[in-house]
Amino acid sequence: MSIMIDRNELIEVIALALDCPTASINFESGLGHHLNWDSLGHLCIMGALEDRYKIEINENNITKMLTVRDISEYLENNI
Amino acid sequence: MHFRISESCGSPAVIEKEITFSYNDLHRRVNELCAFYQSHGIAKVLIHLDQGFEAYAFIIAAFIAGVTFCSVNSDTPESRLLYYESLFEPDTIISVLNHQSAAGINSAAPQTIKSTQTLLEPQFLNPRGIAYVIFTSGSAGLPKGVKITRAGLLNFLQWSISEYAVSPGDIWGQYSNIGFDLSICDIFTATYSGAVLVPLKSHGEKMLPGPTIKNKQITFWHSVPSVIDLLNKAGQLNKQYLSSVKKMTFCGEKLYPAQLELLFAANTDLTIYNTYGPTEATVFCIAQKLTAANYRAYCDKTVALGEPIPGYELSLSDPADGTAGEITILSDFIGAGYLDNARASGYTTRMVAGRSQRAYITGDYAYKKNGCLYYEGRKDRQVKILGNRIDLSEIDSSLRRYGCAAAISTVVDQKIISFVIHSCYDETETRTFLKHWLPTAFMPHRIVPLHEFCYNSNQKIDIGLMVSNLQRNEYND
Repeated sequence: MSIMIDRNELIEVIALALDCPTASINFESGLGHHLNWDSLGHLCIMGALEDRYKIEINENNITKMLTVRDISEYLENNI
Repeated sequence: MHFRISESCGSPAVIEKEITFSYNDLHRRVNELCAFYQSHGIAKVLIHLDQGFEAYAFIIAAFIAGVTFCSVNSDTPESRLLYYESLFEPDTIISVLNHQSAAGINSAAPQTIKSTQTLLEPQFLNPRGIAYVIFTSGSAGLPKGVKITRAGLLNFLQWSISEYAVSPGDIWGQYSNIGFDLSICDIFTATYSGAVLVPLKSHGEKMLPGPTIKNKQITFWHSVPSVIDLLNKAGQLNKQYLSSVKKMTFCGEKLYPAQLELLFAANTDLTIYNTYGPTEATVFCIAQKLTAANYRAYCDKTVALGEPIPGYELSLSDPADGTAGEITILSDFIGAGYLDNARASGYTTRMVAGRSQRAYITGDYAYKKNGCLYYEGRKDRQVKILGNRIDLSEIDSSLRRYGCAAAISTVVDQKIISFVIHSCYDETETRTFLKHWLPTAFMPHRIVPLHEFCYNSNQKIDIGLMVSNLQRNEYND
Protein backbone atom coordinates (compact mmCIF):
# COMPACT_ATOMS: atom_id res chain seq x y z
CA MET A 1 0.00 0.00 0.00
CA SER A 2 1.35 3.45 -0.82
CA ILE A 3 0.53 6.73 0.87
CA MET A 4 0.39 10.25 -0.54
CA ILE A 5 3.19 12.60 0.47
CA ASP A 6 2.41 16.24 1.09
CA ARG A 7 4.62 17.80 -1.61
CA ASN A 8 4.71 21.23 -0.03
CA GLU A 9 5.86 19.77 3.27
CA LEU A 10 8.48 17.66 1.48
CA ILE A 11 9.85 20.74 -0.27
CA GLU A 12 9.96 22.55 3.07
CA VAL A 13 11.96 19.68 4.61
CA ILE A 14 14.40 19.73 1.68
CA ALA A 15 14.74 23.53 1.69
CA LEU A 16 15.47 23.48 5.40
CA ALA A 17 18.13 20.79 4.89
CA LEU A 18 19.73 22.79 2.07
CA ASP A 19 19.43 26.05 3.96
CA CYS A 20 17.70 27.80 1.07
CA PRO A 21 14.25 29.31 0.43
CA THR A 22 11.44 26.91 -0.51
CA ALA A 23 10.79 29.04 -3.61
CA SER A 24 14.13 27.92 -5.05
CA ILE A 25 13.01 24.25 -5.06
CA ASN A 26 10.52 22.61 -7.37
CA PHE A 27 9.56 19.05 -8.16
CA GLU A 28 12.38 18.68 -10.71
CA SER A 29 15.13 20.04 -8.46
CA GLY A 30 17.82 17.51 -7.70
CA LEU A 31 21.44 16.63 -7.10
CA GLY A 32 23.63 18.82 -9.29
CA HIS A 33 20.70 20.95 -10.46
CA HIS A 34 20.44 23.34 -7.54
CA LEU A 35 23.19 25.54 -6.18
CA ASN A 36 23.06 23.99 -2.69
CA TRP A 37 22.25 20.41 -3.70
CA ASP A 38 25.68 18.80 -4.01
CA SER A 39 26.96 15.60 -2.35
CA LEU A 40 27.05 17.19 1.08
CA GLY A 41 23.66 18.84 0.55
CA HIS A 42 22.29 15.47 -0.52
CA LEU A 43 23.46 13.90 2.74
CA CYS A 44 21.78 16.73 4.68
CA ILE A 45 18.52 15.98 2.84
CA MET A 46 18.82 12.27 3.52
CA GLY A 47 19.37 12.96 7.23
CA ALA A 48 16.31 15.22 7.29
CA LEU A 49 14.22 12.54 5.57
CA GLU A 50 15.34 9.96 8.13
CA ASP A 51 14.21 12.27 10.93
CA ARG A 52 10.93 13.35 9.39
CA TYR A 53 9.76 10.16 7.69
CA LYS A 54 11.50 7.56 9.88
CA ILE A 55 13.15 5.78 6.96
CA GLU A 56 16.64 4.29 6.95
CA ILE A 57 19.06 5.68 4.39
CA ASN A 58 21.70 3.30 3.07
CA GLU A 59 24.10 3.07 0.14
CA ASN A 60 21.41 1.33 -1.93
CA ASN A 61 18.54 3.80 -1.58
CA ILE A 62 20.57 7.01 -1.37
CA THR A 63 21.02 7.03 -5.15
CA LYS A 64 17.36 6.29 -5.82
CA MET A 65 16.35 9.69 -4.44
CA LEU A 66 18.21 12.14 -6.63
CA THR A 67 15.36 14.60 -7.30
CA VAL A 68 12.36 15.84 -5.35
CA ARG A 69 10.20 13.70 -7.62
CA ASP A 70 12.33 10.58 -6.88
CA ILE A 71 12.14 11.27 -3.15
CA SER A 72 8.39 11.71 -3.23
CA GLU A 73 7.92 8.46 -5.14
CA TYR A 74 10.31 6.57 -2.88
CA LEU A 75 8.58 7.79 0.25
CA GLU A 76 5.14 6.97 -1.15
CA ASN A 77 6.23 3.38 -1.76
CA ASN A 78 8.36 2.81 1.30
CA ILE A 79 6.72 4.33 4.37
CA MET B 1 62.88 -4.50 -4.29
CA HIS B 2 61.17 -7.37 -6.08
CA PHE B 3 58.02 -6.18 -7.83
CA ARG B 4 55.38 -8.78 -8.49
CA ILE B 5 51.90 -9.68 -7.39
CA SER B 6 51.77 -11.23 -3.96
CA GLU B 7 52.24 -14.99 -3.86
CA SER B 8 49.76 -15.55 -1.03
CA CYS B 9 47.73 -17.52 -3.58
CA GLY B 10 44.79 -18.85 -1.61
CA SER B 11 44.12 -15.64 0.28
CA PRO B 12 41.64 -13.03 -0.98
CA ALA B 13 42.89 -10.39 -3.42
CA VAL B 14 39.69 -8.53 -4.31
CA ILE B 15 36.31 -8.51 -2.60
CA GLU B 16 33.47 -7.09 -4.71
CA LYS B 17 30.20 -6.99 -2.81
CA GLU B 18 29.64 -10.70 -2.06
CA ILE B 19 32.20 -12.09 -4.54
CA THR B 20 35.73 -12.86 -3.37
CA PHE B 21 38.60 -13.30 -5.83
CA SER B 22 41.73 -14.99 -4.48
CA TYR B 23 45.32 -14.28 -5.45
CA ASN B 24 45.11 -17.56 -7.40
CA ASP B 25 42.25 -16.03 -9.40
CA LEU B 26 44.22 -12.83 -9.92
CA HIS B 27 47.37 -14.70 -11.03
CA ARG B 28 45.35 -16.77 -13.47
CA ARG B 29 43.50 -13.81 -14.95
CA VAL B 30 46.63 -11.65 -15.21
CA ASN B 31 48.45 -14.49 -16.97
CA GLU B 32 45.56 -14.88 -19.42
CA LEU B 33 45.57 -11.19 -20.16
CA CYS B 34 49.35 -11.05 -20.57
CA ALA B 35 48.96 -13.80 -23.15
CA PHE B 36 46.10 -11.88 -24.78
CA TYR B 37 48.20 -8.72 -25.08
CA GLN B 38 51.20 -10.62 -26.42
CA SER B 39 49.35 -12.84 -28.87
CA HIS B 40 47.57 -9.83 -30.41
CA GLY B 41 50.71 -7.69 -30.49
CA ILE B 42 49.02 -5.04 -28.37
CA ALA B 43 51.27 -2.16 -27.36
CA LYS B 44 48.60 0.25 -26.07
CA VAL B 45 45.31 -0.54 -24.36
CA LEU B 46 42.55 1.81 -23.30
CA ILE B 47 40.75 0.39 -20.25
CA HIS B 48 37.28 1.82 -19.74
CA LEU B 49 35.85 -0.35 -16.97
CA ASP B 50 34.27 -0.05 -13.55
CA GLN B 51 36.58 -0.39 -10.58
CA GLY B 52 36.90 -4.06 -9.72
CA PHE B 53 38.66 -7.33 -10.36
CA GLU B 54 38.56 -7.19 -14.18
CA ALA B 55 39.86 -3.63 -14.37
CA TYR B 56 42.63 -4.41 -11.89
CA ALA B 57 43.65 -7.52 -13.84
CA PHE B 58 43.80 -5.64 -17.18
CA ILE B 59 45.89 -2.87 -15.61
CA ILE B 60 48.32 -5.18 -13.81
CA ALA B 61 48.68 -7.42 -16.86
CA ALA B 62 49.43 -4.40 -19.06
CA PHE B 63 52.17 -3.27 -16.72
CA ILE B 64 53.67 -6.75 -16.50
CA ALA B 65 53.54 -7.31 -20.26
CA GLY B 66 55.04 -3.91 -21.06
CA VAL B 67 51.80 -2.62 -22.60
CA THR B 68 51.02 1.08 -22.11
CA PHE B 69 47.63 1.36 -20.48
CA CYS B 70 45.27 4.28 -20.31
CA SER B 71 42.61 3.72 -17.67
CA VAL B 72 39.55 5.95 -17.79
CA ASN B 73 36.52 6.35 -15.58
CA SER B 74 33.60 4.19 -16.70
CA ASP B 75 31.37 7.27 -16.39
CA THR B 76 33.35 9.14 -19.06
CA PRO B 77 30.97 10.58 -21.67
CA GLU B 78 31.33 8.85 -25.05
CA SER B 79 32.41 12.00 -26.92
CA ARG B 80 35.20 12.53 -24.44
CA LEU B 81 36.16 8.87 -24.71
CA LEU B 82 36.44 9.25 -28.48
CA TYR B 83 38.73 12.23 -27.94
CA TYR B 84 40.93 10.15 -25.62
CA GLU B 85 40.98 7.41 -28.26
CA SER B 86 42.01 9.85 -30.99
CA LEU B 87 44.95 11.11 -28.92
CA PHE B 88 46.06 7.84 -27.34
CA GLU B 89 45.50 5.69 -30.47
CA PRO B 90 45.12 2.38 -28.60
CA ASP B 91 45.48 -0.98 -30.30
CA THR B 92 42.42 -2.15 -28.43
CA ILE B 93 39.79 -0.81 -26.09
CA ILE B 94 38.44 -2.80 -23.18
CA SER B 95 35.21 -1.05 -22.44
CA VAL B 96 31.91 -1.18 -20.66
CA LEU B 97 30.54 0.08 -23.98
CA ASN B 98 30.43 -2.08 -27.08
CA HIS B 99 33.53 -0.60 -28.65
CA GLN B 100 35.61 -1.86 -31.53
CA SER B 101 39.24 -0.92 -31.74
CA ALA B 102 40.96 0.65 -34.69
CA ALA B 103 42.87 -2.57 -35.14
CA GLY B 104 39.61 -4.49 -35.35
CA ILE B 105 40.15 -6.47 -32.18
CA ASN B 106 36.85 -6.91 -30.40
CA SER B 107 36.80 -5.11 -27.10
CA ALA B 108 35.10 -8.00 -25.31
CA ALA B 109 37.37 -9.26 -22.57
CA PRO B 110 39.03 -12.55 -23.48
CA GLN B 111 37.51 -15.36 -21.45
CA THR B 112 39.73 -18.38 -21.99
CA ILE B 113 43.25 -17.93 -23.17
CA LYS B 114 46.10 -20.34 -22.74
CA SER B 115 48.08 -18.77 -19.96
CA THR B 116 51.80 -18.36 -19.79
CA GLN B 117 53.45 -20.47 -17.10
CA THR B 118 54.89 -17.70 -15.01
CA LEU B 119 54.38 -13.98 -14.66
CA LEU B 120 56.91 -11.84 -16.42
CA GLU B 121 59.06 -9.64 -14.25
CA PRO B 122 58.27 -6.03 -15.10
CA GLN B 123 61.67 -4.68 -14.11
CA PHE B 124 63.28 -6.38 -17.12
CA LEU B 125 61.36 -4.04 -19.41
CA ASN B 126 62.59 -0.66 -20.60
CA PRO B 127 62.33 1.73 -17.63
CA ARG B 128 62.00 4.69 -19.98
CA GLY B 129 58.98 3.12 -21.61
CA ILE B 130 55.54 4.57 -20.89
CA ALA B 131 53.72 2.61 -18.19
CA TYR B 132 50.46 4.51 -18.46
CA VAL B 133 48.77 7.57 -19.85
CA ILE B 134 46.28 9.39 -17.70
CA PHE B 135 44.01 12.16 -18.88
CA THR B 136 43.66 15.28 -16.80
CA SER B 137 41.91 18.59 -17.29
CA GLY B 138 43.76 20.98 -19.59
CA SER B 139 44.07 24.74 -19.76
CA ALA B 140 43.52 24.91 -23.52
CA GLY B 141 39.91 23.78 -23.16
CA LEU B 142 40.71 20.13 -23.86
CA PRO B 143 41.96 17.27 -21.63
CA LYS B 144 45.67 16.41 -21.67
CA GLY B 145 47.11 12.89 -21.72
CA VAL B 146 50.05 12.69 -19.31
CA LYS B 147 52.69 10.05 -20.05
CA ILE B 148 54.10 8.31 -16.96
CA THR B 149 57.22 6.19 -17.29
CA ARG B 150 57.75 2.69 -15.93
CA ALA B 151 60.71 4.01 -13.92
CA GLY B 152 58.48 6.69 -12.38
CA LEU B 153 55.81 4.20 -11.38
CA LEU B 154 58.36 1.72 -10.00
CA ASN B 155 60.01 4.47 -7.96
CA PHE B 156 56.63 5.45 -6.54
CA LEU B 157 55.76 1.85 -5.71
CA GLN B 158 59.09 1.32 -4.01
CA TRP B 159 58.12 4.14 -1.66
CA SER B 160 54.43 3.25 -1.21
CA ILE B 161 55.01 -0.46 -0.55
CA SER B 162 57.73 0.28 1.98
CA GLU B 163 56.06 3.27 3.67
CA TYR B 164 52.49 1.97 3.91
CA ALA B 165 53.74 -1.51 4.87
CA VAL B 166 50.39 -3.19 4.27
CA SER B 167 50.32 -6.98 4.47
CA PRO B 168 48.02 -9.92 3.64
CA GLY B 169 45.98 -9.12 6.75
CA ASP B 170 45.11 -5.66 5.46
CA ILE B 171 41.94 -4.63 3.66
CA TRP B 172 42.37 -1.65 1.34
CA GLY B 173 39.39 0.60 0.59
CA GLN B 174 39.72 1.36 -3.12
CA TYR B 175 37.66 4.54 -3.44
CA SER B 176 38.94 6.33 -6.56
CA ASN B 177 37.73 5.40 -10.03
CA ILE B 178 40.37 4.00 -12.39
CA GLY B 179 40.65 7.29 -14.30
CA PHE B 180 42.03 8.98 -11.19
CA ASP B 181 45.68 8.14 -10.54
CA LEU B 182 45.13 7.51 -6.82
CA SER B 183 43.76 4.18 -8.08
CA ILE B 184 47.19 3.33 -9.53
CA CYS B 185 48.64 3.57 -6.03
CA ASP B 186 45.80 1.44 -4.65
CA ILE B 187 45.92 -1.33 -7.24
CA PHE B 188 49.68 -1.90 -7.32
CA THR B 189 50.56 -1.20 -3.68
CA ALA B 190 47.82 -3.50 -2.39
CA THR B 191 48.33 -6.42 -4.77
CA TYR B 192 52.13 -6.27 -4.55
CA SER B 193 51.79 -6.40 -0.75
CA GLY B 194 49.24 -9.20 -0.57
CA ALA B 195 46.44 -6.99 0.83
CA VAL B 196 42.78 -7.26 -0.14
CA LEU B 197 41.30 -4.60 -2.44
CA VAL B 198 37.71 -3.59 -1.75
CA PRO B 199 36.37 -1.36 -4.56
CA LEU B 200 33.70 1.17 -3.67
CA LYS B 201 32.21 1.58 -7.10
CA SER B 202 28.56 2.52 -6.78
CA HIS B 203 27.51 6.14 -6.30
CA GLY B 204 25.81 5.07 -3.09
CA GLU B 205 28.98 3.51 -1.68
CA LYS B 206 30.97 6.60 -2.62
CA MET B 207 28.45 8.94 -1.04
CA LEU B 208 28.01 6.81 2.09
CA PRO B 209 31.32 4.95 2.51
CA GLY B 210 30.88 4.33 6.24
CA PRO B 211 28.96 1.03 5.99
CA THR B 212 31.54 -0.45 3.59
CA ILE B 213 34.41 0.60 5.88
CA LYS B 214 32.63 -0.97 8.84
CA ASN B 215 31.25 -4.11 7.21
CA LYS B 216 34.41 -4.99 5.25
CA GLN B 217 36.64 -4.07 8.22
CA ILE B 218 38.77 -1.79 6.05
CA THR B 219 42.22 -1.23 7.56
CA PHE B 220 43.72 1.08 4.91
CA TRP B 221 41.86 4.00 3.38
CA HIS B 222 42.89 6.17 0.42
CA SER B 223 40.74 9.00 -0.95
CA VAL B 224 40.32 12.71 -1.34
CA PRO B 225 39.75 14.65 1.92
CA SER B 226 36.15 15.49 0.88
CA VAL B 227 35.24 11.98 1.97
CA ILE B 228 35.91 13.05 5.57
CA ASP B 229 33.17 15.67 5.19
CA LEU B 230 30.80 13.09 3.69
CA LEU B 231 31.44 10.71 6.60
CA ASN B 232 30.91 13.54 9.05
CA LYS B 233 27.67 14.72 7.44
CA ALA B 234 26.33 11.18 7.45
CA GLY B 235 27.12 10.74 11.15
CA GLN B 236 29.66 8.04 10.30
CA LEU B 237 32.84 9.74 11.43
CA ASN B 238 33.07 7.86 14.71
CA LYS B 239 34.56 4.78 16.33
CA GLN B 240 31.61 2.62 15.32
CA TYR B 241 32.56 3.03 11.66
CA LEU B 242 36.32 3.66 11.81
CA SER B 243 37.56 1.28 14.51
CA SER B 244 39.11 -1.17 12.01
CA VAL B 245 41.05 1.53 10.14
CA LYS B 246 44.78 1.73 10.87
CA LYS B 247 46.06 4.03 8.15
CA MET B 248 44.45 6.70 5.98
CA THR B 249 46.05 8.62 3.16
CA PHE B 250 44.59 11.69 1.50
CA CYS B 251 45.46 13.40 -1.74
CA GLY B 252 43.98 15.68 -4.37
CA GLU B 253 42.67 18.50 -2.17
CA LYS B 254 43.63 20.59 0.82
CA LEU B 255 43.45 18.69 4.09
CA TYR B 256 42.31 20.86 6.98
CA PRO B 257 43.28 20.68 10.68
CA ALA B 258 39.58 20.43 11.64
CA GLN B 259 39.29 17.29 9.51
CA LEU B 260 42.28 15.75 11.30
CA GLU B 261 40.75 16.56 14.67
CA LEU B 262 37.56 14.74 13.71
CA LEU B 263 39.49 11.71 12.46
CA PHE B 264 41.70 11.42 15.53
CA ALA B 265 38.67 11.92 17.81
CA ALA B 266 37.06 8.94 16.05
CA ASN B 267 40.19 6.77 16.24
CA THR B 268 43.25 7.91 18.18
CA ASP B 269 45.38 5.06 16.83
CA LEU B 270 45.21 6.23 13.21
CA THR B 271 48.26 7.03 11.14
CA ILE B 272 47.31 9.59 8.51
CA TYR B 273 49.26 10.69 5.45
CA ASN B 274 48.64 14.02 3.75
CA THR B 275 50.07 13.79 0.25
CA TYR B 276 50.54 16.15 -2.67
CA GLY B 277 51.60 15.95 -6.27
CA PRO B 278 50.18 16.74 -9.69
CA THR B 279 49.38 13.90 -12.08
CA GLU B 280 52.34 15.08 -14.19
CA ALA B 281 54.79 14.14 -11.41
CA THR B 282 53.58 10.47 -11.09
CA VAL B 283 50.73 9.79 -8.64
CA PHE B 284 52.03 12.00 -5.81
CA CYS B 285 55.47 12.90 -4.62
CA ILE B 286 55.25 14.62 -1.23
CA ALA B 287 53.90 13.10 1.97
CA GLN B 288 53.44 14.09 5.59
CA LYS B 289 52.95 11.35 8.17
CA LEU B 290 50.68 12.34 11.05
CA THR B 291 49.62 10.78 14.33
CA ALA B 292 47.40 11.95 17.19
CA ALA B 293 50.58 12.83 19.09
CA ASN B 294 52.33 14.92 16.42
CA TYR B 295 49.75 16.36 14.05
CA ARG B 296 49.35 19.77 15.67
CA ALA B 297 52.96 20.58 14.77
CA TYR B 298 52.01 20.26 11.11
CA CYS B 299 48.90 22.42 11.09
CA ASP B 300 48.47 25.99 9.93
CA LYS B 301 45.48 27.11 7.83
CA THR B 302 45.80 23.67 6.23
CA VAL B 303 47.83 20.55 7.01
CA ALA B 304 51.49 20.55 5.90
CA LEU B 305 52.32 18.88 2.61
CA GLY B 306 55.38 17.13 4.01
CA GLU B 307 58.64 15.96 2.51
CA PRO B 308 59.43 14.71 -0.99
CA ILE B 309 59.55 10.95 -1.44
CA PRO B 310 62.93 9.52 -2.58
CA GLY B 311 64.01 10.66 -6.03
CA TYR B 312 62.22 14.02 -5.82
CA GLU B 313 63.23 17.54 -4.85
CA LEU B 314 61.12 20.68 -4.62
CA SER B 315 61.85 24.33 -5.12
CA LEU B 316 59.71 27.40 -4.54
CA SER B 317 59.97 30.29 -6.95
CA ASP B 318 59.86 32.73 -4.04
CA PRO B 319 61.12 30.96 -0.94
CA ALA B 320 60.78 33.91 1.43
CA ASP B 321 59.26 32.72 4.71
CA GLY B 322 55.52 33.36 4.83
CA THR B 323 55.31 34.21 1.13
CA ALA B 324 53.77 31.86 -1.34
CA GLY B 325 55.98 30.72 -4.18
CA GLU B 326 55.29 28.46 -7.12
CA ILE B 327 56.23 24.82 -6.58
CA THR B 328 58.61 23.28 -9.09
CA ILE B 329 59.20 19.53 -8.84
CA LEU B 330 62.64 18.25 -9.83
CA SER B 331 63.05 14.57 -10.56
CA ASP B 332 63.96 12.00 -13.16
CA PHE B 333 60.69 10.30 -12.27
CA ILE B 334 58.25 13.00 -13.38
CA GLY B 335 56.13 12.23 -16.44
CA ALA B 336 57.53 12.12 -19.96
CA GLY B 337 55.30 14.93 -21.24
CA TYR B 338 51.88 14.93 -22.88
CA LEU B 339 50.49 12.93 -25.77
CA ASP B 340 50.16 16.12 -27.75
CA ASN B 341 53.69 17.37 -27.21
CA ALA B 342 53.12 20.44 -29.34
CA ARG B 343 50.97 22.00 -26.66
CA ALA B 344 52.45 24.20 -23.98
CA SER B 345 53.29 22.37 -20.81
CA GLY B 346 54.96 22.84 -17.44
CA TYR B 347 57.71 20.32 -18.22
CA THR B 348 61.17 21.81 -18.46
CA THR B 349 64.74 21.30 -17.28
CA ARG B 350 66.72 23.06 -14.56
CA MET B 351 70.43 23.11 -13.82
CA VAL B 352 71.04 21.61 -10.38
CA ALA B 353 74.64 21.29 -9.14
CA GLY B 354 75.94 21.56 -12.68
CA ARG B 355 73.61 18.85 -13.95
CA SER B 356 70.54 19.25 -16.12
CA GLN B 357 67.58 18.03 -14.12
CA ARG B 358 64.07 17.33 -15.42
CA ALA B 359 61.49 19.58 -13.79
CA TYR B 360 57.77 20.25 -13.74
CA ILE B 361 56.47 23.73 -12.94
CA THR B 362 53.21 22.95 -11.16
CA GLY B 363 51.26 26.22 -11.13
CA ASP B 364 50.60 25.43 -7.44
CA TYR B 365 51.63 27.99 -4.84
CA ALA B 366 52.85 27.13 -1.34
CA TYR B 367 54.54 28.83 1.59
CA LYS B 368 56.95 27.73 4.28
CA LYS B 369 56.30 28.20 7.98
CA ASN B 370 58.31 26.73 10.86
CA GLY B 371 60.07 24.45 8.40
CA CYS B 372 56.84 23.04 6.95
CA LEU B 373 55.42 23.52 3.47
CA TYR B 374 51.75 24.54 3.19
CA TYR B 375 49.57 24.67 0.08
CA GLU B 376 48.21 28.11 -0.74
CA GLY B 377 46.37 27.79 -4.05
CA ARG B 378 46.65 28.48 -7.75
CA LYS B 379 46.74 31.63 -9.81
CA ASP B 380 45.21 30.16 -12.95
CA ARG B 381 41.79 28.71 -13.66
CA GLN B 382 42.44 25.20 -12.37
CA VAL B 383 40.29 24.15 -9.42
CA LYS B 384 39.63 21.00 -7.41
CA ILE B 385 36.06 19.91 -6.74
CA LEU B 386 35.78 16.74 -4.64
CA GLY B 387 39.31 15.90 -5.74
CA ASN B 388 38.58 16.25 -9.44
CA ARG B 389 41.07 18.48 -11.20
CA ILE B 390 39.02 20.84 -13.34
CA ASP B 391 40.29 23.57 -15.61
CA LEU B 392 37.36 25.97 -15.87
CA SER B 393 38.38 26.82 -19.44
CA GLU B 394 37.24 23.30 -20.41
CA ILE B 395 33.72 24.15 -19.27
CA ASP B 396 33.79 27.53 -21.01
CA SER B 397 35.09 25.91 -24.17
CA SER B 398 32.27 23.33 -24.12
CA LEU B 399 29.64 26.03 -23.59
CA ARG B 400 31.00 27.95 -26.57
CA ARG B 401 30.93 24.78 -28.67
CA TYR B 402 27.26 24.46 -27.74
CA GLY B 403 26.64 27.90 -29.19
CA CYS B 404 27.07 30.39 -26.39
CA ALA B 405 28.44 33.70 -27.68
CA ALA B 406 30.42 33.98 -24.45
CA ALA B 407 30.92 31.84 -21.35
CA ILE B 408 32.89 32.26 -18.17
CA SER B 409 32.88 29.94 -15.18
CA THR B 410 33.96 30.41 -11.61
CA VAL B 411 33.84 28.53 -8.34
CA VAL B 412 32.03 29.79 -5.25
CA ASP B 413 31.98 27.63 -2.11
CA GLN B 414 33.14 24.57 -4.11
CA LYS B 415 30.31 25.03 -6.62
CA ILE B 416 30.81 25.79 -10.30
CA ILE B 417 28.81 28.72 -11.66
CA SER B 418 28.89 29.40 -15.39
CA PHE B 419 27.72 32.72 -16.81
CA VAL B 420 26.71 32.53 -20.46
CA ILE B 421 25.44 34.74 -23.23
CA HIS B 422 23.15 32.92 -25.64
CA SER B 423 20.47 34.36 -27.92
CA CYS B 424 17.91 31.65 -27.10
CA TYR B 425 19.22 29.89 -24.01
CA ASP B 426 17.62 26.62 -22.98
CA GLU B 427 18.91 25.03 -19.75
CA THR B 428 17.85 21.45 -20.58
CA GLU B 429 19.37 21.56 -24.07
CA THR B 430 22.58 23.09 -22.74
CA ARG B 431 22.99 20.46 -20.03
CA THR B 432 22.19 17.65 -22.46
CA PHE B 433 24.95 18.94 -24.76
CA LEU B 434 27.44 19.28 -21.90
CA LYS B 435 26.74 15.72 -20.72
CA HIS B 436 28.07 14.38 -24.02
CA TRP B 437 31.44 15.92 -23.36
CA LEU B 438 32.00 16.79 -19.72
CA PRO B 439 32.34 14.31 -16.84
CA THR B 440 29.75 14.67 -14.08
CA ALA B 441 32.16 16.49 -11.77
CA PHE B 442 32.65 19.21 -14.42
CA MET B 443 28.95 19.98 -14.78
CA PRO B 444 28.17 23.51 -13.57
CA HIS B 445 25.99 23.61 -10.47
CA ARG B 446 24.39 26.70 -11.93
CA ILE B 447 24.29 28.10 -15.46
CA VAL B 448 23.28 31.74 -15.51
CA PRO B 449 22.14 33.23 -18.84
CA LEU B 450 22.83 36.95 -19.14
CA HIS B 451 22.25 39.54 -21.85
CA GLU B 452 25.72 40.93 -21.22
CA PHE B 453 28.61 40.44 -18.82
CA CYS B 454 29.72 43.02 -16.25
CA TYR B 455 33.05 44.73 -16.90
CA ASN B 456 35.39 46.67 -14.62
CA SER B 457 37.05 49.97 -15.43
CA ASN B 458 39.80 48.14 -17.33
CA GLN B 459 37.17 46.46 -19.49
CA LYS B 460 37.94 43.09 -17.97
CA ILE B 461 35.03 40.80 -17.16
CA ASP B 462 34.08 41.50 -13.54
CA ILE B 463 33.14 38.00 -12.47
CA GLY B 464 33.10 39.02 -8.81
CA LEU B 465 30.34 41.54 -9.54
CA MET B 466 28.38 38.96 -11.51
CA VAL B 467 28.59 36.53 -8.59
CA SER B 468 27.48 39.26 -6.17
CA ASN B 469 24.53 40.08 -8.41
CA LEU B 470 23.63 36.40 -8.62
CA GLN B 471 23.79 35.92 -4.86
CA ARG B 472 21.65 39.00 -4.32
CA ASN B 473 19.03 37.81 -6.83
CA GLU B 474 19.49 34.06 -6.38
CA TYR B 475 16.14 33.27 -4.90
CA ASN B 476 14.12 36.12 -6.37
CA ASP B 477 13.90 34.62 -9.87
